[in-house]
Amino acid sequence: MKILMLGWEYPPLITGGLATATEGLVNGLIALGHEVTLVLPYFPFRVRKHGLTIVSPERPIGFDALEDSRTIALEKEYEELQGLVRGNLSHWKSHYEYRLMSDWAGGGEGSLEDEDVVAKIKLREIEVRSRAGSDTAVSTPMFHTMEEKAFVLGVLASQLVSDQKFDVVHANDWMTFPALDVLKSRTQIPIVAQVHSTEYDRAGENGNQKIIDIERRGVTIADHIITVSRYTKSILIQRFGVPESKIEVAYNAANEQHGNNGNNEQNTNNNEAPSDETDPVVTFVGRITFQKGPAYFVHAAELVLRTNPRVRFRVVGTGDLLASMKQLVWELGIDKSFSFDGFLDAQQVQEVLADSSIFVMPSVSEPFGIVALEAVQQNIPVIISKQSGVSEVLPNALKVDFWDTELMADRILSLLKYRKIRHELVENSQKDLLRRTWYQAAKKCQDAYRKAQG
Amino acid sequence: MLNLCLYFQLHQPYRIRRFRLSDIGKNLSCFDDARNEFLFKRIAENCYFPAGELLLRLLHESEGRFRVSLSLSGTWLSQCEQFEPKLLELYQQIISHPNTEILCETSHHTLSSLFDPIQFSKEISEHRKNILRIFGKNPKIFRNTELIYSNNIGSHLAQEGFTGCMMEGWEHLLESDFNANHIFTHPQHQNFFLLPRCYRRSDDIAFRFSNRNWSEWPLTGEKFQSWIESEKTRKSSFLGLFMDFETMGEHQGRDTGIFNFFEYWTRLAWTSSTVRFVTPSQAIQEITPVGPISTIHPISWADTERDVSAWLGNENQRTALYAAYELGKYLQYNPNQNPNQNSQHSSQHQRYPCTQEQEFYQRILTSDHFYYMSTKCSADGEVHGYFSPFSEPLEAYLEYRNVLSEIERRLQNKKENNL
Repeated sequence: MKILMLGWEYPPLITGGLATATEGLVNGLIALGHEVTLVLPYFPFRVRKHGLTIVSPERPIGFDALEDSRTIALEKEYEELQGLVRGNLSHWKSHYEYRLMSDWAGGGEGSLEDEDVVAKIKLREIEVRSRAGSDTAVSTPMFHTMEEKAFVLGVLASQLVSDQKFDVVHANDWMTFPALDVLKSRTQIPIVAQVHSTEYDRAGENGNQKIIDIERRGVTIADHIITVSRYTKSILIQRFGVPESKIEVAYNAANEQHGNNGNNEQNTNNNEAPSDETDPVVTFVGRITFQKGPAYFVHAAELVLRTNPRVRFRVVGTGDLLASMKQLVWELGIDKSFSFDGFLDAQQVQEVLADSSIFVMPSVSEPFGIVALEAVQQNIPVIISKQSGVSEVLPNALKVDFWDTELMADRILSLLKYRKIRHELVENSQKDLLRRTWYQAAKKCQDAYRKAQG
Repeated sequence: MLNLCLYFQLHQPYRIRRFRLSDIGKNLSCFDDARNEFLFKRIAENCYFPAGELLLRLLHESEGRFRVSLSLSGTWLSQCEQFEPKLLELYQQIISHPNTEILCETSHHTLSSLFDPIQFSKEISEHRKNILRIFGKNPKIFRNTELIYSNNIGSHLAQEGFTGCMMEGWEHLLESDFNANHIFTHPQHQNFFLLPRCYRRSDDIAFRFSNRNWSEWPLTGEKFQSWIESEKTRKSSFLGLFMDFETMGEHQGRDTGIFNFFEYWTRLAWTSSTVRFVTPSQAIQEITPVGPISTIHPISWADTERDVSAWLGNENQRTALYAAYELGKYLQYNPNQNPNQNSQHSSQHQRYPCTQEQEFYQRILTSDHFYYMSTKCSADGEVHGYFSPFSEPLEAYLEYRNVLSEIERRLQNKKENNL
């Protein structure tokens, strides 16, 4: 099958979980014998992998035979698209509009109707295309706003579908959904939309209404949908009224490289941890945002410290709630037991996990939560919130409701008190982990493609 | 003539309540009293009352041709006395019938036979006293928790004065092509008889009866009777239909037709000329054993493995069990073991010749607590999940460990006060 995949980021460019998930899925799909053309809004790198073609503004046409005549064709394409954007997209209040308004201080009535804005986008686009022929990495699009990136995706994708024949389009998350609208109006290719997270997960009830609208629109026009968990599936059913039969669940798998880093050295010393000499360390890894529930971690920590003042708590990550978490920790008088490590790269996160006694993920709403799998790979027991997709694939992990800080504290203390359970927990969770591979996730995607094709 | 032996197990554990680490030391109840009462009454309504009444009626109407044996765990008896005293009268009536036999077991449905021979003997004598007090009977045949049996356990029981014991008819213990549907003896004790359970026919009722995906569904009385009669061609002399009594109306709900099936089939069976019902004691007197059966490793009727992995399958279970039996040390030196000292207290103490701490300790030895901690997958895992009050095996383990810590604290206090 020839798959046109619309993505947002891809390793080595990583800002969130989507990059690793995309990589895993692509690898799985290639292993299944499919060909993937991945469209990205910004990717100044070269990735050589059999079966994978990456198309980005830096390399707008995925194949080597780039002719000059194409540039002219692209120009025409652009005019056409601009009309589409004006005519078709703006009526459903796309995020283009939202971003432009919020980006411009003063909140002027900036929209795609605005000639200046369109001119701005067009200028950038021409700039991008003018450099496309050369081999130097172009960095301009990095500074593009979200909506411009989304627009670029649409341009590239519609260009590709008119040149080549694809069997299915696979779009990842809301940023790529506006491009679906373009494709839907121009081709008959079946569309599969994968939802890695929803606006509800990211922002709770106070989510951005325009993003929610884009999500709703995306899952409506898609022929079939993939979610990363039953948890996310139920959100789509409840919030967007998507019929259950239209959704396939493809669980994420853990990143293999990460596992190999820690397993060899940490295997022996960590199973018996924490020993009496060293103070136990309880770790939180994730963005310090509403979605990840850092406040519940802090409150549980306070309860733990009342019983066992030797426990230390480590927070890895950054986000809009970082300052208020530091404030909260200070107000509760437990700042001496806390350390905030800020943002760490993937390798450093693995090291922190390997040095921890317990990993806690108190997410309020977590579509999946791949970091919990990484913790398991580092041989540490995990306590995860019931409101997470990863809890569906880790039957042998301890689960609590994110708001139940009392139980969370109790579980932390129990794991420190009853040492032997640690071994059992880790061992069984690792067995569960072996059952999750990207190959299997890709198989589920394949099922979804077949269903989309009818 | 094929001898049919029907034996039903009646058991309910004292389920522990959700017990947090922070609850230790607060002298809270360790058991989920409300839940235990609710479940006992519900199962009494679904099963113990209607199925008991059915047994009684069949015993009367069959004019001696229908026979049945029952075993009632000590925790079942004490909950029955506490929650449904009328129900106990019904079972006194059933057990006083000459064609009913009551078996002995451990008072608290424990795994003590595997861990602690002294505790095992103590529970046996406690249960014997209980049976004598409530039913006025002296059981001769033993039924160990979940039919756990090994040569060692058999020897122990022979020394305790029992004449026989129920076991799983696991033909893998026998030479190939040998049929387990006979009476056997213990390899060392020729006068200690073993009564094997025919798991195929027993599970037809206990597990498969209401399963609509089963190719033989629906099971009719005629069909079941024809399967039983076909055992004659295999030269079987004894067919043990052993199952949980809760099969009748609880595991297999009334709407599955289990009561009608059972009544219809028993009438077919007792009017048949090729089979007859026997009680276990009658079986070992009247049927010639075919030879010894030997098993060094304990077997049971649980799960597809038929071993003790349902309770000892993972490290958490083993850790919890060792920790639980470790607490036995507090009881061995307890000077309050003489029951007469408590006679002026409540009737509860008269009935149970041990202090409250000891009673609680034995209640947490009940095998069910460890069963809930099993992490088996597949069909057995589903069965474990069906019975468990916990949503996760890990939860079952942690709450149990906390209760254990609380019981240990109390035993320790008691011991210090007594010294």
